[in-house]
Amino acid sequence: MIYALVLILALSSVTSATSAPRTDVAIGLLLIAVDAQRDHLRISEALRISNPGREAVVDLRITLPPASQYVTFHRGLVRPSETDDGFRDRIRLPPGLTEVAYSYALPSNRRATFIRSFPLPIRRMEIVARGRGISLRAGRGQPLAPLAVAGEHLPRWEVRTVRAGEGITVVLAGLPVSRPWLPYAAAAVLAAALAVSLCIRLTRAPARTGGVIAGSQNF
Amino acid sequence: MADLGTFALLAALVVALYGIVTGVLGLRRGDAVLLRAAHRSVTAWAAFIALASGALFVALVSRDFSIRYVAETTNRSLPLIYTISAFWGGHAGSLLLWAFVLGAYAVAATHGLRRAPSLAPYVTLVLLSTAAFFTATLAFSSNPFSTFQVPPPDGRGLNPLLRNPWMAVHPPALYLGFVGMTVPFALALASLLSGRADQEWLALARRWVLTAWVFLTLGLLFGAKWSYVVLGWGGYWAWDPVENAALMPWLTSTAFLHSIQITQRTGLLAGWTTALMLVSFALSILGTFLTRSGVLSSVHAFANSTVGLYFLIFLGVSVLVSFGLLLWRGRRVPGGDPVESVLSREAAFLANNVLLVVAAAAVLFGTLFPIFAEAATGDRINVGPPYFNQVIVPIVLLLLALMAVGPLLSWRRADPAELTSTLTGPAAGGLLVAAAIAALGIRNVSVLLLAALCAFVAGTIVLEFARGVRLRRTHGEALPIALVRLVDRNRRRYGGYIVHFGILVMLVGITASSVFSTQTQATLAQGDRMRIGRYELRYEDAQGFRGPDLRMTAARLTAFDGVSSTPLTPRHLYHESQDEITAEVAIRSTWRDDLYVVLIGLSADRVATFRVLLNPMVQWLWTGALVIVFGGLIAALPARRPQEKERPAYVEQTAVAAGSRIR
Repeated sequence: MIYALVLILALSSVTSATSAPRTDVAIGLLLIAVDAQRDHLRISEALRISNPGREAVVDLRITLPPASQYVTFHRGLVRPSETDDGFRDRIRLPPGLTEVAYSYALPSNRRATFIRSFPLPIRRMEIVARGRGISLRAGRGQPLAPLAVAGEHLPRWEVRTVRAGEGITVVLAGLPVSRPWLPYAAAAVLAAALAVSLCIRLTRAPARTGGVIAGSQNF
Repeated sequence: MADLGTFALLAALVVALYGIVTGVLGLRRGDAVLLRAAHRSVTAWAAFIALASGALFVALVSRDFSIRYVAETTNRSLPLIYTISAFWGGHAGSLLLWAFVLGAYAVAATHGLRRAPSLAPYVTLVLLSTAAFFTATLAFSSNPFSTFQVPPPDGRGLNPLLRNPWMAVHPPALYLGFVGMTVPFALALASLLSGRADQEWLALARRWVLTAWVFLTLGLLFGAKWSYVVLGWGGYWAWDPVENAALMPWLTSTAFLHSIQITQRTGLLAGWTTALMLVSFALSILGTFLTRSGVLSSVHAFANSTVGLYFLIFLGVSVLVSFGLLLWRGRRVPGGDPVESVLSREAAFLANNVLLVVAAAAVLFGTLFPIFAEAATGDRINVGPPYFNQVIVPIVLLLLALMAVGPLLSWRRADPAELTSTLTGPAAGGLLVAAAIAALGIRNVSVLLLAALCAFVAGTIVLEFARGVRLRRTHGEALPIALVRLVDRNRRRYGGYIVHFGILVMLVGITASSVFSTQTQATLAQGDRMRIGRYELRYEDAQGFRGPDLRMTAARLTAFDGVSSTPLTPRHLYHESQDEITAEVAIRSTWRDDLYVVLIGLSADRVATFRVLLNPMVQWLWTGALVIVFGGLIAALPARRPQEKERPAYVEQTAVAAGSRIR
């Protein structure tokens, strides 16, 4: 779902990526889609790499935020291998555009902060987040008008001209979290209610003498 | 779903504990309101467990991988039927199934106890105590609703060996059997706790035990069938500890179903019958402990699991309390008159009981010995089939002899002359069958003895049916109607005969398939042929297939038996997510034999290696087991009580003639 969202965004933004001035190999457009789920974020990243020169082979090393899990490779990677801080792959870049997409998950609380840095310069980075009532901002750049998708208005942020290796801090707030205490609290309320009703019964109906009964009339 | 499931489990525990407290206080204070509250707690507990089960079911079907259990037992490519059976495909889910089944049984039992009001409060207490134990284990040790903070995008999938229709039905059937022992156990304890150690509980318990026994039989049957068609070793019973865990309560409950007849009729062996019920329950808990604690794979695995400790404590407490009560209240248990004669039905049933209990004890020893040996020495010493066969085969032969003679003996004292004349025909039939088999060149003494005894028992059963039918026929009933009515008028007796007949059919299948099985292994190129017994097999070709999460290699063979040809397709399955290979056996099954083909290997040039077995009469085993279940169901049906005025005189005569030995 979120991957599809990234692709929609990528296609909608194709003009701005291809109209950029031709210099060296760079990321024309980087889309980061954050799907805020309970206690964790599903982050999909789509890199539209532009190569204005001849075919080149690039050793692409992507650093992922610490504690990221379940990295899934969707597009453009040949034989990715995991590294201590992310993954790497040697990819062939023909002249023109090459798309690379992957996703990963990140544990979160009510608020999440992570830094993204990439080995290539980025002409335009767009971040979009999905989740009820969440807010999004980055270390620099500016907010964009929310994106309307299937009746939801998703907050967006744009950063332009990011140097290779430059870290961009992404901050999300108002994230959904689980409430593991809730079932225990509900059960405790039930226990308290039953205990109170039992106490009331015991105080209102004093014990009969004689102890054990056969119980014959009670069922 | 996780929150809902956890809440349901915690609420169920609260309600169970509340029910125990109100039940105890109600009994001590003589408070009917509190006793009613305890009674209602059973229903409330069952409802919360059903809610938890529903939550797990929805989580599985919706593939909610945030729940650890769902992620560990399913994945996106798992077919729906195995996604549902994943409910009991893992440890926590199977415990929840245990609790769910207990809930259903407990509600049915407590609502059926209106007929036994003096036992009801105690039965409720015992059921709620068992319920509280299982709920606490689920809530605090094996919560099926524990979650990941970050759920994986896909699950690990169900163990490939469990992706089989027989394994989809085996655990529920087995648990219906195991858990079914809880209600009669509760009745037995209630009779001891209430100090009313009379026969009231026996009348109520019998049908519960029969129901549990039928399900245990089905569970054993499904498990054996799964082992036969999935594991690819050609057999169906390996005396594996997991199999033994289900067999032990089956043996002791079988003993109970025989001893209860003596106790109900003569008052004899009341304490023994109660003890058999307590043992059957303890063995059903032991069976769950053995399969769920990890102790079978290693003592160390058990040491690392909290659930094993929980079960061990529960088992210890229930054994101590129940047998302590039996010893304490044992003197109040009426003893009845002593056995008058060795030549009586009581004596035959007693001998049957001793043999069944010895068999259960031998299986228990063989099952637990490796565990104790490992705990003592650090080395695992396995007790294999030779031990079990050496112990069990003589017991089975003796039981067969009793099965032939026992039903023909009168209660109290049989007339030797009458008995001799009754037994002469069936005994001669048995000897003739043994002689005929020997004439075929079979010299195996056990086989000849077993054949003779099976024919002997079959003869006595036919004789009993023939007598009853003949009497009914004298009053103008057609043969099929006479047969149906005969069974219908005395379901308990004739249901038992049907069970005995099923056991004979099953034993014939077991003996033939285990003694006369042949096997061969061959490596064939396409078009090559091989022979086994009356079959010729031609290897046609092999093909590979790819499915979701699966790579499959299938070899095609054609089996000729001189009359017809049958295509056979054994397969090799590689399950990618589990990195595991399983075999899919091809079987051509007839009443005479099973042609059983396993694909062992396939080279790049499509040269295939097959292991082929010819297992005689395996179908008899499955059919016999189904006959046992059918007989058990008939025996479990409530007895018909026609109005005296409606009962024709000849019915009385039938009862006198065919059932004179009853009284």
